[in-house]
Amino acid sequence: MIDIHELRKDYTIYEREKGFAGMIKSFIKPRRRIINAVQGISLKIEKGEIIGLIGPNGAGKSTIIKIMAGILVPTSGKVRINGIVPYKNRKENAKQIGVMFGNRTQLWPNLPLSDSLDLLRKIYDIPIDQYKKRLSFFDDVLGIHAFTNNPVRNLSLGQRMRGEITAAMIHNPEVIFLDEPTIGLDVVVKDDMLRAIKEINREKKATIILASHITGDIENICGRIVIIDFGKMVFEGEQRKLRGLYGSESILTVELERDMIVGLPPNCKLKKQNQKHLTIAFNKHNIAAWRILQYIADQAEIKDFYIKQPHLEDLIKDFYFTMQERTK
Amino acid sequence: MKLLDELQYRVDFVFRLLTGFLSSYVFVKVWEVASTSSIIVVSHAEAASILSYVIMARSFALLLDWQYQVAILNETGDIARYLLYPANFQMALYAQHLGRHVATVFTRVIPTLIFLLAVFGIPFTVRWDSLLFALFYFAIGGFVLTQAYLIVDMWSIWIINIFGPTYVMHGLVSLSSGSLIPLWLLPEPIRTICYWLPFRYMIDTPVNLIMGKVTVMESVQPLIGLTAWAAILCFTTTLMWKLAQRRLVVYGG
Amino acid sequence: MNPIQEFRAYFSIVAVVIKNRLIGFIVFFSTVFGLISLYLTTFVSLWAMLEKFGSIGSWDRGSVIFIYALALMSYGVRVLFSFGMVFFDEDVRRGHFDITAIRPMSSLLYQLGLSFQLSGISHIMAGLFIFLFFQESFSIDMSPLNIVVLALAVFSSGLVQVAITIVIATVSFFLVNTRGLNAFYIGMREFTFYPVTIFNKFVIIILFTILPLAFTTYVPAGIFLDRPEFEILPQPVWMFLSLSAGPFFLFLASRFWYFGVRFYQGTGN
Repeated sequence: MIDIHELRKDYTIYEREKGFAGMIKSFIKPRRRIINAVQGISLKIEKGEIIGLIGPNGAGKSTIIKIMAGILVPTSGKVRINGIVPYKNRKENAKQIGVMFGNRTQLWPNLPLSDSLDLLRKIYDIPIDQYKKRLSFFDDVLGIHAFTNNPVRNLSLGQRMRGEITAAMIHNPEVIFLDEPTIGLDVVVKDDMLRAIKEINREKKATIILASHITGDIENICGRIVIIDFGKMVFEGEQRKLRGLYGSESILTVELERDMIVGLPPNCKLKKQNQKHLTIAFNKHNIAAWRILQYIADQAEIKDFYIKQPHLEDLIKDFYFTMQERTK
Repeated sequence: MKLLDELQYRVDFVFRLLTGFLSSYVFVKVWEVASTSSIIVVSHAEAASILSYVIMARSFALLLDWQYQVAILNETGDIARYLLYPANFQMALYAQHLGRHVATVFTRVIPTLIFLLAVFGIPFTVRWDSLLFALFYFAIGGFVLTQAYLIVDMWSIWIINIFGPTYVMHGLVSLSSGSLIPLWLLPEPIRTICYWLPFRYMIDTPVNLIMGKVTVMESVQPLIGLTAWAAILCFTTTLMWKLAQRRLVVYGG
Repeated sequence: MNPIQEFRAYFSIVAVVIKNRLIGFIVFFSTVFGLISLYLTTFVSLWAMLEKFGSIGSWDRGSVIFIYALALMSYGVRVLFSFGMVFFDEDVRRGHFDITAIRPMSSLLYQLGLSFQLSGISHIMAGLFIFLFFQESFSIDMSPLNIVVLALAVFSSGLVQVAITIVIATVSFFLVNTRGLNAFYIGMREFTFYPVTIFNKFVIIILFTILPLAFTTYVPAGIFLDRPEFEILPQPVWMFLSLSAGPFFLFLASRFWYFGVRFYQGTGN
């Protein structure tokens, strides 16, 4: 479906020294710096998958998406989407993909949302009956009918982003790229959006590639995740694989009645004590939470406690930490 | 080629200077050909006089521009800052305008003047008392011009988009200042209107002073008209700003 | 997408651009009025000059005004079909071109659609007004055929300017800021408002070759005004050159555009 092999993308930046003399020097003998934005990434994505691309800003996620969308030409390597090479057959590829950029709009600010969608209907040559059916679907999933007649500039950010998703998918693409789609959204709207994306994937069987530096987005809907760092793919696999490798630690938080020092049983670790609050890390396969509580209760009165499973963000932090340790 | 990105400011400046030279050359060349080799023959002296005027007028016309700052400030909401400043708003804008114009004199006006005088072989002779008086007219004429532009600019607080009025203003100022054509060559009704408007004090009057077509004594009387215009326009902009402050709406986040 | 579908999509984009512009109906008409008055005010100075001197060199009053009117209308066509491209360097800098690149149609056609500027009709109307008001001073037979040919010549001359605009915009893929280049083009364009032969030979060569602006006003004027220097070639040849200049240079510009697009770097996220 999507086949990426040894993909590389380098950018050339010219550096200038300060001042007028520096300007003349750079004009005569420019100093070039090569930025390796993407370094030899290989990946296969099957039809109907939802893949999460995680990485910090500048990791290369957007560059990978833009190469797959046919916007950029790679330095080397191969990319095929349903057999089409995106940067060689840009127009052909454009018919089968949909792209949503979180920080760039496809909509016309002064016109009603319906006008922007209608223009896309004409550009993608969508038959009218199919267009109406799809609009009805997006209304069910995203509730857009309530504001399609409003000028885009008058919409709230949440409404606008729902409009953007509709615009990205109105032509029924087989592959959908979402680049930071939840940027700036509040928690409630974000949840709605992610739920809608899952629904669209289920109904339309579209392959979705979601790039984000917000791990919470990825955690909720992506089965397989790919971690990108400095242009390299440092992890690829199911979330549970990452959990299995780095997610064994649970966190037990205990609030005591009085501020005091208590001992802990073996197979657990005190991460932090803040007066009456204890933060304890433990592996549930080595020791059960009730044993730790019982041990503490023998020493002091417990006022309250709760147990937290690690989030994807915690797993990734542990993952990066382990990688750094290995490099040392 | 990407390297040239780094030189943008300087490259842009050079291109704009060259462009200014080009369009000024075209403008003056047309006048040279018209005044020396056309159907209706004029005396050599008159041709030289017209050419000198046109060269100076074209160079000084670079000072006629105005950045419609109120419109931009209003659109972005930055106009709120001016409500907080203890300084007078009009004087603050005029001071910015003056600063920009002083820079323009040295970076564009003088180079263009030198370029045109050299290319067309026109000697530049001037009486120093006339030059001082001409500078005085530039300063006051410039002030009057900025007040006139400010009136149009402040309309943006009521009607937001003022592209239409700015184009009308630009055309009116260009013609009636004498930057496009010596005012004495305009047909009678148009010439009278231009003499009544205050914009000729920015170009036509100072250039005529420098050329010696008008003596210092002869240029004293128009000062009355200039002062009257300065007072009327200043009063108008003050009143408009007071009304504008009540009208201003700055949107929150 | 076949070419017919692509052009249909182009016109759909233009329709949306026009609708977007006409939302501020009063503002739009005030802009048109303002532009027309600006050009007519500037024209008054040329007219007064011609009243004083009777001609500019060997070009009589009617010929000079004819060229001026042509220059305005030709520039109006440029503004109408491609004014937005003047700011293309900013689209590239901000990554807005990403949206163009994901459409299933020619990136140039899509971008030209977005660049449509309805206020170009101001320049065309100003030029037309001058042309109609002074038409008796031109020694041109205003037969229906001549009017059609003249209109096509104006359109073709406008397309030459559109082609130059596209070339400058394409440079944005290599140089991030093209404002200086655009300003330089506007400076060179000044030559076309007047009879080109009054300038020196070096300028004339440039206006026929590197920056083919001579095809915008001088060539059509030379054909319709029966200028003696145009006798070196038969009139039908000049007519062919004039009418085909626009499409020809537009084709060359489009090739350069498609070459430049490959160098688009995007802006990351």
